[in-house]
Amino acid sequence: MAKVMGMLIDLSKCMGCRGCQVACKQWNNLPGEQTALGSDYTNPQQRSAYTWTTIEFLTTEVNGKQVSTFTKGGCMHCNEPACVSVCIAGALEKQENGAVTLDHDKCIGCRYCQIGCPFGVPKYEYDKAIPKMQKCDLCFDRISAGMEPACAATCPSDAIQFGERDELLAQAKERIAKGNGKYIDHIYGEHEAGGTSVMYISAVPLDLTALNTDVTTEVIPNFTWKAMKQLPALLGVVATASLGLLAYSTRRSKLEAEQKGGDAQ
Amino acid sequence: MKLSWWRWKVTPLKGTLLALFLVAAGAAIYRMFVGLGATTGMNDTMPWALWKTIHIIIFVPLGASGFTMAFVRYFTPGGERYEKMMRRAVIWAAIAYLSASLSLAFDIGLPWRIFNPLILGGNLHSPLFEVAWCMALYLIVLFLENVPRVLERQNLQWVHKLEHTLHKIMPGFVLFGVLLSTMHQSSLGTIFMITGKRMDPLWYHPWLNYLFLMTAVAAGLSIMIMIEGWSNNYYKTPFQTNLLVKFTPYIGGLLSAALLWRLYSLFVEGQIGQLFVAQTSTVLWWGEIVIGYLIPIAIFFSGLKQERKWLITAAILTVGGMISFRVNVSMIGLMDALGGAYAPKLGEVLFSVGAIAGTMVIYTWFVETLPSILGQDVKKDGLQHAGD
Repeated sequence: MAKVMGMLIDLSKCMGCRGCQVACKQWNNLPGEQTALGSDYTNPQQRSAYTWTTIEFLTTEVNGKQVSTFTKGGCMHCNEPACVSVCIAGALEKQENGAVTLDHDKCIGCRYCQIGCPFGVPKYEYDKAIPKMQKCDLCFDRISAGMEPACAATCPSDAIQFGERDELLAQAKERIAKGNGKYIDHIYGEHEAGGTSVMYISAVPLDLTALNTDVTTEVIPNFTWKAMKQLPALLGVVATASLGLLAYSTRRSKLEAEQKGGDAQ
Repeated sequence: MKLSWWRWKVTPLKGTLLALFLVAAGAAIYRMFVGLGATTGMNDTMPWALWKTIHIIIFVPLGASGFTMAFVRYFTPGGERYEKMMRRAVIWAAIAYLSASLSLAFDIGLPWRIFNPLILGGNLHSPLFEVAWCMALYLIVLFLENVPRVLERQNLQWVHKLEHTLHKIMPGFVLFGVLLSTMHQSSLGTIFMITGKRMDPLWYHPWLNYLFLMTAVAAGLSIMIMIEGWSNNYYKTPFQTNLLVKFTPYIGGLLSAALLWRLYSLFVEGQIGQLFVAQTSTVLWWGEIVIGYLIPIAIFFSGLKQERKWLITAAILTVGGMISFRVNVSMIGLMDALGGAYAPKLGEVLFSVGAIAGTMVIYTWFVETLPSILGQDVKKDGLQHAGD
């Protein structure tokens, strides 16, 4: 059994250089996009089928002071991914090493993963006649060969750390404990969406970052599985009731026919 | 000049529907060349929109008349009295399901892969995979339920033997169809449960699957009443109020149970206050509940149901309530849950309108071409005219 890998992103170390964005595009051969300026420095404004990771800039005024945060957004590589559980074709897969990958040869383009994912990660090529679903695969090819994902390898301030999830989690706890209050006491991704391979620690409250703080801590695939696992029982009840009713109906029509002395036929 | 094909007569209305169908075909071809983004308003924030909602989430329960009526015909005491109605129900279901499946092919990104998950294997944990399997298998059941309409018109001895055998084993297929429908009608609700409490509290329900199943059965029986009303107007088939009112306690009961369960869930979740907030979703909720639940329940449980026009009105409202529920969950609720931005585009609307028009006109073709659907006794007069 391979080790479950992951990334620990220390938002306090990120300086917003967007090197990870560029490295991701380079390694995955993703085309450039026409971009536009928004209210902050995030560029492109949204992640897309062609831009899998972005630094999201968020400037907020807290007690008269401006607080700027840079959040590396992208696939969280959930321990139990919703996208994998809903995929009709089995195209999405949680690999043993932790990466959530997508097999383009299997994907039919139903786009259910876009509904299941609580982070809005899978993106579709709506602009193409023969489209593909796209998402970050934690550089599956690189990590299978013992390398780091492109974004982690390029990060100049070591804000993105790649390693075994368990070790990263222990390290995050240690960093928070030894930080003397530098960090807020929350490892985003430890429990979010039932636990994720990509985790964040931050020096500012998470609602000042671009992280989705509304996300459930429950295991999302259970939302649908709880209904699906009742299907055998439901079928049993319906089948038994139907056959019982059929037996009753058959017997009643037989009795009625006998009463009418066979004239009913 | 009178246009006709076999017994099917082209009227101005049918001609219009056919023209709309052709426009939809054009939109479908356009979509194949330019892709989903140029044809529809769908985007990364709203990946399922008008097409999935109309052609799957609504059309499949519209076809629920098939399994409910086959069940009534073959499993309930005195079911033989419903034979002729059932014929109109199962042919409608077959056309509705075919329409749904064909439309779905254009909604998925790579239409030519639509059967891939069934052939190459898919993911057993996906509610969508289960819906796909059930719909595919149920289409076979619907075919078998309809094939007697063709077989009974043939004079050949072996065809009669085949028809007789089929008749004997029909309850088995009907039961299979009922089980498949139980599965996929409920799983259409399961699909949206993956959004959890991201869904607006007014549409969130911990067991959306059972609500979908209950409203599908209620709508299926109501569609039978609608079909009978229409067929009585258009084809002068008898409108058998005495038989149709027997459905009303079941439709009314299912609607009441679904409504109470929804209120109970709102109460348990502590969201009952949402019913009295000035917001769009609250207005939609009340609209759905008053028009689609309370009024039909009142009619079904009162003496009004004995009157043809009230019975049909209540049936239409029940189906309207089902459609409203599906739209509220699958479009409005989903858009809210995903924080989506979406406005339908022209090509998308033309496709949907035309696909609905085509479904209706193809239904009339089958109904008019196979006379036993309208209740002509083939065994007596059909065979004599078999040469026409």
